[in-house]
Amino acid sequence: MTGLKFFLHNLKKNPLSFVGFAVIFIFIIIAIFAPLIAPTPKGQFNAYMIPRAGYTTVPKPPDAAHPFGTTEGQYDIFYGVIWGTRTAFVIGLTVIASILIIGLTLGSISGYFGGAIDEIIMRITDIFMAFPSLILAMAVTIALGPSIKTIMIALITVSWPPYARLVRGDILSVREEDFVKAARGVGSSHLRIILRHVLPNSIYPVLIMASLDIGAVVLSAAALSFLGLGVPTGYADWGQMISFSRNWIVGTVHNPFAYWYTVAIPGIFIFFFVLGWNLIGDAFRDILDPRLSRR
Amino acid sequence: MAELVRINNLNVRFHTYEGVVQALDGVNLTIFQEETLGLVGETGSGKTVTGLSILRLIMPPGKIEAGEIFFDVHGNGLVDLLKISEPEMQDVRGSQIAMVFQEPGSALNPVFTIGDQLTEGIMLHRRREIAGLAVDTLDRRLADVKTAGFFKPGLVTTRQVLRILKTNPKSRLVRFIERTPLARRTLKGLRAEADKIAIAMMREVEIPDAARIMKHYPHELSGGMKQRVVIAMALCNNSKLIIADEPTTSLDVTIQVQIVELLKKLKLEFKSSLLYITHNLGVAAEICDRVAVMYAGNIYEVAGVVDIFKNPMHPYTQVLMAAVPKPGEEPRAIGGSVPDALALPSGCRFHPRCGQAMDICSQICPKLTEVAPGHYVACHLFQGEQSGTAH
Amino acid sequence: MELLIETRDLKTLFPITKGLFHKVVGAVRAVDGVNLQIEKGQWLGLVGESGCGKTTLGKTILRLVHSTSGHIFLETPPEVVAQITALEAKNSRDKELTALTNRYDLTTYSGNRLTTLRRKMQLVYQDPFTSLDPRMRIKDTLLEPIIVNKMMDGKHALKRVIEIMDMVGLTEKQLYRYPHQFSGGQRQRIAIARALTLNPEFIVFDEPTSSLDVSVQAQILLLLKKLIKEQNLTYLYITHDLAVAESVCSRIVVMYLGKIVEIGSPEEIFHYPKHPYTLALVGSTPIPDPTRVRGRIVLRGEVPSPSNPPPGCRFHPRCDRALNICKIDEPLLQTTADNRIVACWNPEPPETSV
Repeated sequence: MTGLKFFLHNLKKNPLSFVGFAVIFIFIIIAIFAPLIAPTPKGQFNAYMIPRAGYTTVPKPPDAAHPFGTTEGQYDIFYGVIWGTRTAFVIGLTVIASILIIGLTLGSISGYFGGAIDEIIMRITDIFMAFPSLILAMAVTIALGPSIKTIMIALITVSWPPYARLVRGDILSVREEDFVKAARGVGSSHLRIILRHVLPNSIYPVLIMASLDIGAVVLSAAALSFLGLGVPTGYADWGQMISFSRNWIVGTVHNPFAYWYTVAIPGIFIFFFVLGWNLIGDAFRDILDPRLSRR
Repeated sequence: MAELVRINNLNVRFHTYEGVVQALDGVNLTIFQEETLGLVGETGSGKTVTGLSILRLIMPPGKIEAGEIFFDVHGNGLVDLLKISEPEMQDVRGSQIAMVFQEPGSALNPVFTIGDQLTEGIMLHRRREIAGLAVDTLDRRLADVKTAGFFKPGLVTTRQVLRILKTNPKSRLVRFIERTPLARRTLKGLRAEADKIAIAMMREVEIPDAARIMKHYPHELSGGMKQRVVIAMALCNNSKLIIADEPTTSLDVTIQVQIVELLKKLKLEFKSSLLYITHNLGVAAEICDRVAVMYAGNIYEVAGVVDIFKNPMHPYTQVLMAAVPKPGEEPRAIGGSVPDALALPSGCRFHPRCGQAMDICSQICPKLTEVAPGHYVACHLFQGEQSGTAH
Repeated sequence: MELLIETRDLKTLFPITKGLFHKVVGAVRAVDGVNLQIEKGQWLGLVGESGCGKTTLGKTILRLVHSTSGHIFLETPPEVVAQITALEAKNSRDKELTALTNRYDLTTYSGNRLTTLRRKMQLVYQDPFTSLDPRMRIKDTLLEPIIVNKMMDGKHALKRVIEIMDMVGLTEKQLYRYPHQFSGGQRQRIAIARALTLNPEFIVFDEPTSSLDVSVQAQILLLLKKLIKEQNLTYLYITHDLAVAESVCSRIVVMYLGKIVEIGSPEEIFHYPKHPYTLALVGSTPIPDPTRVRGRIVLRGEVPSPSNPPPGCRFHPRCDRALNICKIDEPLLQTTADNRIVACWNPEPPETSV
């Protein structure tokens, strides 16, 4: 029974997961080919700064030059969402990778060794979890100044505790398994046991949580940018674009949807990105969990 | 002896994503009244599936594809259990056929008391009887003029309700009352009677201090006690057939002896048949009247217990007997292992490991034939020109 | 006969704690003063029911569980053992005693010495389904002991692993598979192979066949019989199945509630048991012979909790031969007049046979 056959069988049972993979695949293509899809104007140094077609505040609807229209301050929406995809991936993957590393390290040390180390690490985790996450992220960004690095640091700071907890829990159960004791019996060092035996057997739930979380991270980054606490003004970021649309959501007196494109288009991009990752996370869970219990 | 159960050509398949597993492949089995039949086999032989099939407890992806399971439901002839409706089958389960599972820890629900679980079956299947008993108890109470008086109206209503139940156990009115919070109290008498029966049953299975144990939870009892409770649950309704699926495997040897002796005693007292599923030949020798040997979904030998141990005819039975460690003898083994359920060998399932395999063995699956009185074997060594089914 | 392992008054107690501050309120007396002698090349069977401490004893000897008190001696000359016992009796804390125990007593080993010791003694676990890492190929599982102990380089290590697979009856191709692709019996062979990689002298088997089919069990037992001679091993075979112990072991030790109650040859234990518990155990063992009627002793009651053993002889509440002294004084393991080793005030008379 190869893994591929198993995977395809699950795909058949769960067609939505295929949608998830397809959506994210499209986003990956967009991100990779961003310079081709939305070329940076000549002379512009930082490709992530959205080019402006003027300085007037009122957004302009989509036309030939600007396929998705422009938002407040004449930032090109099309360019913004395309390059925003790259930003989303960068933020999402960097933050998730970092909290995975932090969570795995702290969680495994805590779970494997137990005792005082476990208590200390878990109390530190508790401290971080006691803060409302968005507030803490805001505080970090204010302290460090707005930039993409700041957002990532802020999000890493608030998101790592659940991972450490989850890893610790899994390790507590795997630690008692016979094969771990057998590895001790033949003389393996603790480090070797953690890396080669315990982690590979307990990593799946964490991976599932991580894939579900990428969407959440991007949403949080968008929220921070919306509040103006994230990326610098004019940076290509979905949250920032929605932030620009703040004053135009209600449209004009006669036409409430006059400026729908300023909100809807970045919103759609966020929506599908998060949906895609959620579906992938669900698919992973369905595929990996039965296998775990089917030993 | 009269037949109690007759299984004809039972065919059960499991449709897993890895392929179709032929769990039972044309199983033919008869259980007589008041006998203990041992169903012996190793992993993958299909013995548990057989037991579950009789109770129609096979869940998807498993499916009973073909065959008939005849059971003497009402005492006047065999009825095919696979053809009756689900409500009718529910009537049979627990009252006519009861099952004792392997792990007493998981057979008992951890959040209900022992009393709750024992009386569940009684309340379900013996409603008429306990309603009658409850009415009698109430009558006695009403007759005592002193204690009646203030409570009279309540007691009379209660008696009325119970009377309805006695005449019509499935009365909808009563079912409605059961679900109404305050009116429910009228049915407390039912539970009291069921409790009495449960305590009597617990004394049968030699559980000490039965009244107190009724209020305990399963985790407060030891393994041996739990298994006795499960056996009591199985006996509560005077079932005609008890299916015991390896009831003593998880218990210590000295406790196992107690349970086996208990089963032997109860079997005689309650005159039920016992289908004893096990892989332990020693226990089978102690408790069974007849033994059927299964391998990879088929029955290969059936004989009386003395016959099968003294004169095993099928090569697989001989291998099993030789492999069991006996005092003074070393166990003898043959190579190979039980075949993969997804890729069963053609013809006789045992032929790849059989020392006496002939050409025909890989082509045609032998059928059970009577080789000596009461001794059935499915093997080409004993069949002249018998034709079996080709695979 | 040369002694490989000898334990003196070995005790393993697991503390029971209560309350927020983990106050110790009692102890589970898993192994409660065991003097066990294992000779070289012996296949010693350790039998008893659940809770008797046989598994804990096996693991304590292997230093996988921390012993509470007592000594474990490996290949120690009997004079040294006698000397240590004598010095202890004098209750002296002198340097000689410390030096001797540090050298010979396994309970004092730690760190590097312990790691080196582990190479000589291995354990085969009960459940073949959980004793192998499901995410590692067999090749990696078997190479691990060699790599960890830096015994050989890559090429030689692989050759050794193939050699061992052959010893247990498996092929080279199967090295590249995962545990879930094997049957229970095959997995147990792999577990045995893993135990053999380091070329140990002593292997403890913790009920290795209790979760396996009868025919598979027979195969494994024959394999073990072949290996004990070929590889010059000594076995401590823990089991609750007295029939298995009787058919393959050269000597049997019966345990009850943390103490040894009887030691003897399979013939003696099975046909002429001296301790009432042994008699009950033998009587309860199912034999596949429907015609044989045994004087069955059906024991009353259940096994008491090891945290609260009965006073005096631990078996007395369930014993039908209990005398008054049995309730007060604990009998020690002694050699009787007819050369049997029992811990009982009122052992079965010589006529008792099963």
